[in-house]
Amino acid sequence: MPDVLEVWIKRLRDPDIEVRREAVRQLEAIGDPAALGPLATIFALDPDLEVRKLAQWAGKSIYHAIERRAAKAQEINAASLEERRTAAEILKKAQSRKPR
Amino acid sequence: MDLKVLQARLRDPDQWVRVEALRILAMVDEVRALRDIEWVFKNDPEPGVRQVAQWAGQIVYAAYKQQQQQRAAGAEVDRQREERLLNSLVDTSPATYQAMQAQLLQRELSDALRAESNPKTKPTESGEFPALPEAAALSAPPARDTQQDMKQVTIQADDRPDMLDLLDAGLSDEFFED
Repeated sequence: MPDVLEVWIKRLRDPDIEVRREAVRQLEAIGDPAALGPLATIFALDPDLEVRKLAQWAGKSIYHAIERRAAKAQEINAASLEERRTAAEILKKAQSRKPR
Repeated sequence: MDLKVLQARLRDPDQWVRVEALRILAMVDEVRALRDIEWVFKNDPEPGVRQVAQWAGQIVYAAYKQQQQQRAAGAEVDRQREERLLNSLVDTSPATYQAMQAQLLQRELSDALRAESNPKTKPTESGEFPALPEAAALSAPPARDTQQDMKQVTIQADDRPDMLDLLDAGLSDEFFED
């Protein structure tokens, strides 16, 4: 069974303008960064202005979503690092209080 | 696929990878990559890639200029809003502003007099200040009438309207408009 992403990427080259528009919308909804390259090609080369604008909108949407996820992951990492440090300090204090 | 990945792809040995990276950067208006695009335009061995870099550079540069204009416009809006707030405090209700100033001065004077007359507040020989006395209970603020005209506000020593009430009364509706 062909990959859904591959199907919609293939439809970006369809001669029918409505099919290309729908393919762009679907790729934006899927949000896979692998679609950025094909969308960029449409942005650069599609004969229809509206399709090029739509491709740019979809590309920006996917790109900024990737950035937001990366920023969030960084935040979570920083927070968990802080939590691990705090836990280590507490353990150290607890061990120092243990009766020998 | 983030900015770092795309920047690395601009130096890929495969020219089609470089072209795709340039197209993506142009599509998403990535102004942070402007210098990298310029470098490709000046240094890439392939003329076709340099041409794509020129096209991408023009698009990203236009986005950068637009961003600068939006920032300047935003700063101007903030500055105008601040000015409106200050004007609403001073021009619309000068009495409120003056009342606030008078109240501030009065408090400073009474604090200074209290400090002078109370030996407990003078530093000890060791140079350390003794503990502060308990604060006196404040008088209850007067009941607020939002429709009252605040042009004449009299401050008396025993009747100290709440500073925040004065501030609220002095603000015009204009400040809260978007």
